[in-house]
Amino acid sequence: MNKNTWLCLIFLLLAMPVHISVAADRELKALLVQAQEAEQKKDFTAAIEYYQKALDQDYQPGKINLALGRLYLAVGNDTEAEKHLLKALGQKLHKGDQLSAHELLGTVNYHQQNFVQAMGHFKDCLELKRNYEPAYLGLAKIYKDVKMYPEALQELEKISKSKKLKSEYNLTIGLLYRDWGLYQKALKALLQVIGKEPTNIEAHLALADIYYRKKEYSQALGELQYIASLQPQGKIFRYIALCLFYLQEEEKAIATLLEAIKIEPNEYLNYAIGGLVYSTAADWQNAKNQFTRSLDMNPQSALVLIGRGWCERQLQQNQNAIADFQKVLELKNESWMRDVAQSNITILTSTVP
Amino acid sequence: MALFTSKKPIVYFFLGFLLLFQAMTVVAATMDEEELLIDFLWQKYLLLPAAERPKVALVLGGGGARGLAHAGVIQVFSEEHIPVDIIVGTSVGALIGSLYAADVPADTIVDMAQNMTWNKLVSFKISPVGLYSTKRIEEYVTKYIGNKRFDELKIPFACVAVDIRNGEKIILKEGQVAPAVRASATMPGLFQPVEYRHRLLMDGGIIDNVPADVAKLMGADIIIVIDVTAQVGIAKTNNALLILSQVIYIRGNFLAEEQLKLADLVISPDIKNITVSELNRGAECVDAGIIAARAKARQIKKVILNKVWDKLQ
Repeated sequence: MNKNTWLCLIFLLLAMPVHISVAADRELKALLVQAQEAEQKKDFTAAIEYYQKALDQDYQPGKINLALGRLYLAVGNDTEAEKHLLKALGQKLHKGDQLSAHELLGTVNYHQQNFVQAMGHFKDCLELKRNYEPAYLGLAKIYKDVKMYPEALQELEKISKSKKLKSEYNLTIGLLYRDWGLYQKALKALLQVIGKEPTNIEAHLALADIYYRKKEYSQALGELQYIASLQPQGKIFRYIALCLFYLQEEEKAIATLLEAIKIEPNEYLNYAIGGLVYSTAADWQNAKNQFTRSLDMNPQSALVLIGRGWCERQLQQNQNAIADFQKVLELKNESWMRDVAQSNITILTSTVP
Repeated sequence: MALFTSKKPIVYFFLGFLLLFQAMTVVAATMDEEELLIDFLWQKYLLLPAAERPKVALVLGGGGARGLAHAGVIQVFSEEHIPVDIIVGTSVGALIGSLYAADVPADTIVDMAQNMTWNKLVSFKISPVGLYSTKRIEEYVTKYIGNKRFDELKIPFACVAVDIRNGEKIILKEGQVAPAVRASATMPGLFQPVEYRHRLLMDGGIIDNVPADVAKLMGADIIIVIDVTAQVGIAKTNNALLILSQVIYIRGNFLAEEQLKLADLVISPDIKNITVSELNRGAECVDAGIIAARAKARQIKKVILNKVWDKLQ
């Protein structure tokens, strides 16, 4: 080989890694672009796949772990979200990204009811950035959930003028007032949420809850039917059935319970409520059948044992009734239900010859 | 609040323990058969003829501005559909109780309490027996219920005053309501006593601030007391009215102890930092009343239902 050939070979050998590096960089950039596009389109699963591939190339792992944490949180996989976010915090991150990681970890821990950890992360946010509004919101939600309502209100007051979090603020304060028992204030806040976001399920659900507790069953029914049209769930159908029952529409209530059974065939409350409906119509045998099916699914239900006991009493099956009430007393339960069962036993034993 | 901003490990440990305990309560509260059963039975209870239901009495105690919390409690009774058969009140309890007894809507009573001022109740009028006239209390009540007599009220009602000539406790339950309420809510010292049926009457809080015994006399089976008695330890005493009211409430607290024993249930709104003269804090008092009553609503229903088992089946 002459001198020129040697020089060409040396050049090629030197240029190869650069070429490989440029190609890898292009591939990585393409992956990140694809991941971002998928995230924007809310195709979180695809975005996760792209970010996972990008992570294998060990380029800015902190940023990518943060993105994965955010995405896993969006798809409801809190465990994976927490894992990636904690990794991200252990890697190189800008201050803004650290803030996001702590906020997301606060949210993940809040979801898992790890309130102490969640509170720690939200407080870290406030150390990184004073007056960081989402952190105040996070703290307010924790205080609300642990029934420290004045403290929750104090945190919410700090973001009362926030335009960005207006709807979240109204929703949280609405839920807070509902849990605290201040229904009028809760209604006002929740209706403001609905005014801005007509399909906000959580707000509709809270409204339904308040109307139901205030025994304004027609209004509760309206809210619940709307929710069921968007998200048909067994629990919603049970509440619809209860509203219909209290509105004295027993047949419709039973029909609605059948809808609930289609979705949750093994939920004992579907049959328990059915039993209550039939017993109000004095259809004792049907009521007893419903309660018996319910007990097959949950033999520990004091409510159902009491309900069946009442039916048996009406059907002149007093010994069976006493046995059911007795079972309530045997449950490890110090509640008022025991008093109910005991009162019924006293009534029955004073009438049984 | 210092507890929640501190960084000391011991404080975090305590807070952690508290949050963990509270979290367990949150999880436990998700399934509520008891509530379902109470709702179901309550519906049946409301269908019982009045004669078959126990007579439920609401006793509204005295406490000046603090008594505006009664309005919040009444709103909860209305929202929770808890029927009240007898109302007894002293002082501010008489004022709010009379409106409820006359079927003034709970929302109106709440609105009234939230916007209460001294100017609506008293007027400056110098006389040897006091600096202020409480004639406006009478006018205020009349504005809402007209010239109703006790026997025209929807719910049987009585209020308590004291005859300062002989120290006799006077139970007012006949004749016109508005002047009786005025007499029951006229504190001595700054306010002029009220001439009423040949008696010289003043605030019932002097002699009976929580008249549960009167509810018993009127035939109550269940007595629910709303206790807004002043926290004498935190009261301000920087003017004559406050000193006098403090004297009344020290005595009132002493007397209330016996009366509270007659109660089946006591609702105590958390209004400890509000003094008897702070009518401008009506909204806070109303909220405190709502919160306290809501927290007790289930227990109230249980107490009532426990009396009617045999009639519900």
